[in-house]
Amino acid sequence: MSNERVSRRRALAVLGVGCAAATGAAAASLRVVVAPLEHGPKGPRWIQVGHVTDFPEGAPRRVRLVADSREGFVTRKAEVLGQVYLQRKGDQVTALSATCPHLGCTVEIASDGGQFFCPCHSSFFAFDGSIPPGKPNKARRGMDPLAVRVLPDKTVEVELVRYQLGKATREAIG
Amino acid sequence: MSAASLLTETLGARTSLSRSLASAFFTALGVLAVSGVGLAFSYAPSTSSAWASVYFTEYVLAGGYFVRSLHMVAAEATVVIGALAIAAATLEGRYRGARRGAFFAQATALALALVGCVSGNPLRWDNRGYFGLMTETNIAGELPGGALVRALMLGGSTPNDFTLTRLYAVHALLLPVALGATLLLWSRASRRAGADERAEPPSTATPQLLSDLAFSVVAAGTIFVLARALRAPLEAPADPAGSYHARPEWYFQSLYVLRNAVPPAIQGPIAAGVPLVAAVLLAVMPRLDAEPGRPFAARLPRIAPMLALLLGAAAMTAVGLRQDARDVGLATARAAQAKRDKRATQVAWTDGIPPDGALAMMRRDPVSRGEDLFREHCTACHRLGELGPADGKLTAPSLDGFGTADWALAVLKDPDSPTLFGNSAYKDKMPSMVLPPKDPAARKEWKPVPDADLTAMAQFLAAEAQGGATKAQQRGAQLIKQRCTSCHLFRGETDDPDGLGPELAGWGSLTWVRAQLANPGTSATYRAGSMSSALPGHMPRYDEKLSPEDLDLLARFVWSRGTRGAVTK
Repeated sequence: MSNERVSRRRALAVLGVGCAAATGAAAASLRVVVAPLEHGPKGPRWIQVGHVTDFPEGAPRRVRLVADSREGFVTRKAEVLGQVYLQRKGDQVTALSATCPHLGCTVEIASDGGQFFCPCHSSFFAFDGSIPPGKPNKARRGMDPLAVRVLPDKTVEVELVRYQLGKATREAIG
Repeated sequence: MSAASLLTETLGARTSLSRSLASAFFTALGVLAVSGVGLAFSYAPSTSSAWASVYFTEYVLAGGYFVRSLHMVAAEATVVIGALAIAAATLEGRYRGARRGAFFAQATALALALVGCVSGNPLRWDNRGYFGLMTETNIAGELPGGALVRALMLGGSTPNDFTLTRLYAVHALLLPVALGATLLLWSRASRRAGADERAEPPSTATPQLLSDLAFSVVAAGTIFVLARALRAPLEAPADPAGSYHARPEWYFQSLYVLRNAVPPAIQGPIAAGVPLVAAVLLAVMPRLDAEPGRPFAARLPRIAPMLALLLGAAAMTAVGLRQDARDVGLATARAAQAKRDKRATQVAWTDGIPPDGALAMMRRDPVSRGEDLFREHCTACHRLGELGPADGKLTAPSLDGFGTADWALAVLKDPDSPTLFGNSAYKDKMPSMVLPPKDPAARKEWKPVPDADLTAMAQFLAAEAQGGATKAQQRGAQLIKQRCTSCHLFRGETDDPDGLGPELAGWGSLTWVRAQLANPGTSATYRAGSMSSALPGHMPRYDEKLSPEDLDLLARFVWSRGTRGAVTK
């Protein structure tokens, strides 16, 4: 009898220690699971896309935003971080993110050449990024405008911002 | 007793179809688990190694492709069989009393199988898997608190290496553990329910076993036959900057169709609502249809919502697949994608995959990279093959046939044709050699250049584009020297040092094209005046924007593709 009680106590003790150890390990592991969320780009990133004269007036031009990327384990030089459509009027340059605000496919120029079109869910956008009335569209907001600045030497820079997709309002997510 | 009559007997009134389907479900899961372990032995989860390791499994490791097919077919089989088993259990009312636990376990296993599909597909890190994941995580992000869920799935705000390590941990570790636990609970619940039933006269015990066995054998057989016939997908390496016409896998077609049919504002609620409704429905079925022994007709209103959900999903899947099959734009895009996919495996096979990954490999491939660069930098004005604007939208010459005698001849005859310089910054800069000038005074003096001379010049130019003219073509050179150097450069000489006409020696050659792309204003091709701001929409220089390697690739693409294409009039 006393033998049994000793062994039960021992078993409980071992089990208790085991559970405590497992809980500790789980807590430590959870910390690591959440940790990558704290990394990645922070603050505004201005990315150079070319010279004012690179962008003829008229139809928008698709441009890649190329900069160093520090997501994941490695740093990649000159990685494509996003794509924008640039439109110029004189020295005024505007940028629209080419990422569809619906679900993130890449918006293309429609085959008629007069508007944007997202092929994944057949959404049309006007060249100013707005949702044209009477056309199929699945997005809850127009295309996302990005800030553009033209430096004194006429170099054009675009601010890379990503917004939460699928929502009516723009919430920056990095 | 023949085998046939044995089989008929097993499908008699007391035999449970849903139980036999559950047996088949177990069988498919077994194939899934074992093939998954096999695949894990040659998989490396990182953005630079994932595609390479899957490529290796598919094309290099002996028999690897078959294990991949098995895993894919078994996964899709679990979804199909799992849904059928739920439908059969609903029809049979096999969720009452002690069966309830087993029913819930079955539904949980089906849900976990779908989680397996979602977490498994992107592991290939090809376009299909990548853009599927993007869409799924973006849909998750639409929901309240979804931004956090999305960030947790991706391990950051955008897909990165952590996305793959996380997916792999979920797919190959957590999921099997969760499924194992579910199956354990399922079998315990079944045993408890079975003990109750054994109290009843065991008249159909043997046939049930035979039916179970038959279903399992058919499931296993079908999985192996299909795995022989089908290949698991491996598209081109995921290119986040590429254009991709994403469509859901078939098991999400119904949700895709439903979401597409509703106004944008309620797409989010639909994405969360339908699975929620399904879960609630599954949870209440045992209560809704609690009384045993009712005739089927009396049960029908109670099981109708569940059946409607299942049939609705099946119908919408069919609608979605049909829509996609009829979508011309999608077919065109898929053909282009298929070309890219084939090219990726080709390059991987011949050149091997570099340590910086399959996407880097594609970015160094003249064929793929050249086309990408052309699409990005040239198609706003130029056309080449299927790339670039349609007639009437060109603001620079079509490059179809650039470097051929036909193209040169077309310029000599009508340089301001709308597919040549007619809508460009260089309109009216070169006179036609066969069309009379507009100015009446000039017209009096004017005579068209004879056809034979035009042909000789065009043939000389085409020969230059191919690397140099032969002796036989020297008459063309003579003619060019006489007729063209009042505006053009020829071997560095011209009568008009401030003119615009480009160098015609070596015209259209790889060196010429490379120089023109790098900087059209150096007199190696065009001259400084052609870059003047008085010529809006002139050809820009690219040496400040593209790396020397990219310039080489783009030049080679234009040069080789141009001479292969046909001249457009």
